[in-house]
Amino acid sequence: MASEVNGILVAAHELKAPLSLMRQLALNMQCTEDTNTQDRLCNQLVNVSERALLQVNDLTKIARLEDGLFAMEPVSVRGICETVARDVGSLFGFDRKALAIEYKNRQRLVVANSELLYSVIYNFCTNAMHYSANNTTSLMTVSDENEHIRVNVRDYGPTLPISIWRDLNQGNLKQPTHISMRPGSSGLGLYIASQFAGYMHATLGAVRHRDGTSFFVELPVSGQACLF
Amino acid sequence: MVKVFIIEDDVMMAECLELATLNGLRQLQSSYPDKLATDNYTTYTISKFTNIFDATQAINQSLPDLIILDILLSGPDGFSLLNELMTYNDTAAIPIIVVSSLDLNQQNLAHYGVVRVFRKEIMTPLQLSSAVQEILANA
Repeated sequence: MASEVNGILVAAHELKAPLSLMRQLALNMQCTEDTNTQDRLCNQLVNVSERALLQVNDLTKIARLEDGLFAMEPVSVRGICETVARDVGSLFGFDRKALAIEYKNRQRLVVANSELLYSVIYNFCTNAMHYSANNTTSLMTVSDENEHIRVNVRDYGPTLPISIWRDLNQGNLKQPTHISMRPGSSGLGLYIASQFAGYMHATLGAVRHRDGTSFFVELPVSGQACLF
Repeated sequence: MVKVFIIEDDVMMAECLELATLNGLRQLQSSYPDKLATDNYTTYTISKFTNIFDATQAINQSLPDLIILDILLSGPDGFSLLNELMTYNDTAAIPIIVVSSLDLNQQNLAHYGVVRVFRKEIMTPLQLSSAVQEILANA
């Protein structure tokens, strides 16, 4: 019961920021008569609401993981990375930041669920966007690691506290954890990513840098031939 | 020329604060033209910062007339700036509006030069623009 209440509190806390931002954007739209400003605010409103909806959607998916409703299949990792990069590109742009992708992999297919993998990488990217310093470029790298493919997202923000880094790398992230060096973070995105990675038998981890953090997910390579 | 600094790490929220501040300054300009009109061209500037380091650097170069400050920032938080500002004679006199998602009491922060506290969840742009107008009119 206590952990359920904690989970609800964390989700409520995480949704408070986009909701109050959406309210401010809407109120400012009402106050301004300049149509260019109205269009820009409207665009931002749509983007913030979509991001919040995706997070709510992810939370409902966690509850459905036990039912095994998410089929594992050969998935093009590059395709998913490119879709995520396209979807978060405008969000990075609002913040005067950028996201680059670098492919170092020969293998193209992994065994995963495309919806869940999308969410894992999306969470890494929005995290990088939020905590990176202005005018920096976060880097998404896709590389081969023996029989796995690693998707790594490097950000340039505060580094991850050792305790969370240890829990994450040992697979012990059992509930959302407030990340003290990353203000406003409840760790919900990381928790969602760890739950989805666990379902897909993927490995989730982080690398601490002095000027930021890399979050990665390693997925088993699919034996199916890739035709593209 | 009146200078307002906005310190907020969320770029979209910073733009919302900027728009409200701009409205406040325009109202001030029409109500008290002598407060702003030091030349015929520029009467006010609004500068936005996403972290304490950049803001501190700018404050050292030129003192603002008003600071609008978020508390939960990436890196050092808003309290560290409040502590820094109160230790110098010139910066201690700068009025500060705190805009935060934290439940803060203005009276508890008054000794830092905080003259208003707004909660992001319930604040309206009109409240902020009125506060900007009122504080700068009485400065």
